[in-house]
Amino acid sequence: MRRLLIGTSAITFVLFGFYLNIRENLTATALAASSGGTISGRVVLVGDAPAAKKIKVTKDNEKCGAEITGEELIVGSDQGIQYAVVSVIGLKGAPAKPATAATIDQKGCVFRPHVLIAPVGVGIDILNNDGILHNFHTKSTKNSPMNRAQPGFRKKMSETFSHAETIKVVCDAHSWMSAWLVITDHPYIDATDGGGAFKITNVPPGNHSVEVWHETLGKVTKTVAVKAGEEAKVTIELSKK
Amino acid sequence: MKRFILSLLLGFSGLLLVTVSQTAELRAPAVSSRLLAIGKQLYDEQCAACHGSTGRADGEAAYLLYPKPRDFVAAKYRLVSTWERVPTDQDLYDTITRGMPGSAMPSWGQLTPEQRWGLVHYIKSLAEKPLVIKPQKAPNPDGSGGQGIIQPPPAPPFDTVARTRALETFKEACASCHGATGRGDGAEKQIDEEGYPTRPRDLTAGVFKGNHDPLSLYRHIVAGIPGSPMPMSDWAWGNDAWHLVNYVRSLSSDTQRQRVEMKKFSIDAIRVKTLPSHPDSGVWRSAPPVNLHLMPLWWRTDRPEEVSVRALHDGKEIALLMVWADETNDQTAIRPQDFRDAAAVQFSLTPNPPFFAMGAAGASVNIWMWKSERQADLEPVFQELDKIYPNIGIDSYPNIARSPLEQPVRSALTLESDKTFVTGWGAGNIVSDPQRKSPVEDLTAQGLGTLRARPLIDQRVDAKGVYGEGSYRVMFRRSLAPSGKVAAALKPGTTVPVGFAVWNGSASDRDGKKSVTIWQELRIGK
Repeated sequence: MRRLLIGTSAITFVLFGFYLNIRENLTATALAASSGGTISGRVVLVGDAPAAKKIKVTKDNEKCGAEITGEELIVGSDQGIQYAVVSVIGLKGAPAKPATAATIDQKGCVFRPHVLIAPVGVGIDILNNDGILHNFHTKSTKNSPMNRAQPGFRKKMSETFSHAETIKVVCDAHSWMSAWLVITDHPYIDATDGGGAFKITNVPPGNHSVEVWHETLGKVTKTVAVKAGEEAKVTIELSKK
Repeated sequence: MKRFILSLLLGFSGLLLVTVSQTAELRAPAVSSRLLAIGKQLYDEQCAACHGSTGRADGEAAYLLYPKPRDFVAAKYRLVSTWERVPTDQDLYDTITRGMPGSAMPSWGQLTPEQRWGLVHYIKSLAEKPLVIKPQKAPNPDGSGGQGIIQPPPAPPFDTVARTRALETFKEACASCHGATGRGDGAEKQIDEEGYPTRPRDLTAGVFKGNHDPLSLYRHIVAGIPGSPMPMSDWAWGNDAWHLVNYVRSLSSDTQRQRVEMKKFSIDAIRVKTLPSHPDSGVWRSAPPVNLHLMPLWWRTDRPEEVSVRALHDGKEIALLMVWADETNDQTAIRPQDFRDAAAVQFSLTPNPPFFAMGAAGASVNIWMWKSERQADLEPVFQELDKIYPNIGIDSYPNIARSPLEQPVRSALTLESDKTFVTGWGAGNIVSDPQRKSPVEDLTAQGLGTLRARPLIDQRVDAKGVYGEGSYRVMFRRSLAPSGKVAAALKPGTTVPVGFAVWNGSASDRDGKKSVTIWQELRIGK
């Protein structure tokens, strides 16, 4: 009799624990899916936009042209900064897995895109559509640094990064080439487009710290309040140092 | 029957033991406190001056070196043989044994294997994060997924088909940086991981930082040279990398490759009746020449690769001859931007020599340094400012040796002046003395930055240097018996450790900016 009682209560405890767990998860996903908010807006530059640097191309001119425009600070119409990375700090969640692998291309002796956001642990496709030798050299600290040759006949190669990190990528054969890989372990992140606009969806309601990172202008943090089902519009200003 | 089987078993196990012990000798010895102690002692004596006492590449000589010495704490090594791009113990041992031509890392092959393994383990113990090498796993045919030590497939023959393929792949995958002819003249300014400027290797020069046997080159191509712009070319896994290895080796010769390796040689000082009085004298032919390998501390392509040394003695005095190539005769040091050619011999005062770069605290070295402008000062006359600036009017101190009536322009040249107004000379500074009779100085040092002249009465070394047809011939001469303290005792029948250095004035060489040899052996015949 006693054994039956103990057994039943043990099983009940375990089942109740499972139920609570499942309920919590369901609630979170339910909240996120149905009642999450959106953070959107623009990242703008305060002050005069500097003229884009022109770099003279000294080799492989047939593929690279005569001149390359530097991409360290691209300011579009209405002071919008392109390639700024906006992310919500302190939230956990699996990073968004796109239908096709995140891709970075070497075309016209420039990395396209200049900033690529990619999830942790998923292969990134590195393309070479120039038909000449490039190498993909990451200056990473948390991930093992890698430096792989990609001659013209190797049109595609794949690389996976196991830790979240913002990594600078260079090509040693063409010293003006650089790009940034933003390896992320959560989905609440976006890079600004040509007009400086960004959009992060399915953000749980509450007050959040939003961080903006730009390769030359540095980091800025801002608090944003997110309400369920609503779009929080925010303009974040970055200034030159 | 049982006994037969037993004896068979014993026999087999004996054989097994023997083979296991044999391979154990060939494998790297495991770390032990004894090896670490040996390594630490040697490191403090021989490595700390460049690599730093804590291994952070901040030794006192580090500023004189290019490429920079390795930081053992960060432990980001260049020469690796694993897919993880991390060196094995054997890799580190090989680097210590061979040195790294193309840098100021000399060969330490004269140390015993135990000493070198001790250094390997001590150096590994300095790393902030241990080096991790996974168990070996062969890669897929496309070169991905490999783990552990890189074991290439068997090499195919390098026939015409292979050579054509090598030329194609070199053009597509290497010429962009190494240049179409492999001379390292690809048009790109490159920097290494630490931010220092670096160049792609000139593959025609035969100067390879790592071992240049086919297996090592295969690994350097496939795994790359981490920390440098040389990338991992896993696409080449298989035959392509072999074809490239063979092609690259064909661009330089074995002689070229041997000449850059710093080795220890023996120089025999033969006894003769009369010593030569001139560097070009025929008497020098009695002494066998020894070609010593020189390395510049700040690596450059245009450098003296070798210095040829001969030695003779007559029971009372010893004569040493140094011959090396130099395209220009830089024999003035009057303008601030002028540097002269020079050469030096360094003797250890103990049979077990101290650190090869200028000795160490408490362990002096005796140096004879010949300077070309001191030679030119003797033939025919002390070189004054007006040799460089012929119409200069030196209007400083009065030339009281002549009356004012005899001086339309008061040009107080050194030799015409009173010592009172040429203060260095007046104070007895032997470097300032314009009437000095010898082009060589007798010096002593106890480590970097401690060079000083020996007292005036002990300056007994004589020398004569001549220049012609792109080469210098400099002979040093001194009594076998030393005079004064800290002088090398050169007794017949003994072996004295000796080192050499050469300065090229047109490359702005001076002080620590020079080319040096490692310790050699001077065997003075009876």
